[in-house]
Amino acid sequence: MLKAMVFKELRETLWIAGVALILFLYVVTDLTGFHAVPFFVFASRQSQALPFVHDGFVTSFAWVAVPFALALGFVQTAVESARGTWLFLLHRPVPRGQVLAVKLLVGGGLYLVCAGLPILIYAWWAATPGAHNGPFRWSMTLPAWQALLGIGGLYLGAFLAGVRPARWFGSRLFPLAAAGLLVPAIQFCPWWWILGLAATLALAAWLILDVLFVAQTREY
Amino acid sequence: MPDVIVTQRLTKYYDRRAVVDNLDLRVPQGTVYGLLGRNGAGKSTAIKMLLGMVYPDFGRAEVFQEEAGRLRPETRSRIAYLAEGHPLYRWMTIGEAVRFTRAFHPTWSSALAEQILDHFGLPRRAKIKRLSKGERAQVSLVLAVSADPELLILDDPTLGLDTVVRRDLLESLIQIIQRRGRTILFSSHILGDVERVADRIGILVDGVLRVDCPTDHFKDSIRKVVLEFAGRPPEFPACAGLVSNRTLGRRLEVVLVGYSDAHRELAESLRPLSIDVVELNLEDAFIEYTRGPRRPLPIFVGEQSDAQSDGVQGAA
Repeated sequence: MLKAMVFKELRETLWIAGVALILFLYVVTDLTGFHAVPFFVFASRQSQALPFVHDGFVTSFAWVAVPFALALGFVQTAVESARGTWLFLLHRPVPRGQVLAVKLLVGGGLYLVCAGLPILIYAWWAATPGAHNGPFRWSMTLPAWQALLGIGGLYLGAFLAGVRPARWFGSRLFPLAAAGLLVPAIQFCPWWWILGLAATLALAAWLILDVLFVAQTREY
Repeated sequence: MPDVIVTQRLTKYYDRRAVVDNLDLRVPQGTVYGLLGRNGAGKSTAIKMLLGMVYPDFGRAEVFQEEAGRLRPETRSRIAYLAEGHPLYRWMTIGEAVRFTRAFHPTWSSALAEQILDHFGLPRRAKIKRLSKGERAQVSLVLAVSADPELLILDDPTLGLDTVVRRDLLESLIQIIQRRGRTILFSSHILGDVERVADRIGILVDGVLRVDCPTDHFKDSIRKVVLEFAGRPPEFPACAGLVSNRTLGRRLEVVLVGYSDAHRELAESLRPLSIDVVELNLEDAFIEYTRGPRRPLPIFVGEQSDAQSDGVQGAA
């Protein structure tokens, strides 16, 4: 039954992941100079610019990752509400927490894989000798990983906003708004890999626990 | 027979209005129970409370001797639930929906699923989103029944279906019931549907269970008493079994459950010119029970004769 639930979640979200992956690859090919398409939307890397440091990769990455994370969170939850399928899904003989955990694992996993892949590809290109004029160290990729983990909080915020019942659409978005304020604030945290990472994990833990609590106690 | 469903003073408020009010319900094993009520009477909310989808503000509900809000997965697997509107995943094909549902039920009967799919003529490769409402209802029934549940809870399964599809679905349901002797609770606002299938009915009016008896008993015990007066009719005295009481010109129409000599004596004490006791069919009885106070239509108000100028009064 776990396989059936995972398959269902993947089937419902793969199209978003596919669109996001195409856009991520576009960013990467654009910055690596392969110009897959003959127009530029995101930052175009200057030949002297250091990969991940001065080439606008993180900004371009965020332009794709943020809508991807939001769409993923909402599609996994708000669509179930809009179509009334929570009643069908939650009547399956599985604990309610497990249904939500599978959703979060599939959505979170899909986000990390799809958004992590372009970072790895770009880093692999940057690490290849002769690919560009500047030096490269793996530590230069840290801001990108930082953005990846931080934007993951927006996915959880969107997921919680989709699960959470509210009288008004605005108040329903409250957890997303809270995540939207906290995520950028955490990004500028000093000693990020100590304080920022801890704050990011704490935010994620709070959102996940809230999702499970709301899903368990709300009415359908 | 043990009770499969038991509720005690089950109450739910929405916006300070009791949509389900002190519901005391017992559904014994093997019973086909029809829960009737108009739209908004509280049927769906009551059913959702039985399945732990909505939590009561007061009272309790038990299904298979377990608190409804905390049904264990093993208990839930014994219950099939057809939600109102037959929500299914639109992107799935019928075959995918069957495979998805089958994965959760070790007792799933593929042979039965195939048999019912064939009976309805449903192609396995058809997408749910391309199906008509009636076909979606049929798919929902296949998914519910093939898991071999002991209890079927159907929330207005024929809602929005045309007469032919409705009849077909109900006949299939009857066959399924006869075949296995399951306990079935199903809600409807269409009386004919319930009459054909249920051996016991409950009628919810504004969240209150006003009737809970065998279907035949309800049909046999409800009467409309028509009293003619020379002038303006008096009010019918409050008494046990009084459902509605309304004045139409010089006529007083009273609907009573469990009509008895005591009711007749009460009617005679008003000294009417005549007393007619009319048997109601189930449809009329249901309408009398569930309609609220009747008011004159504004467009006819100016056309009322002097004799009818008293207008009509609300039902009890």
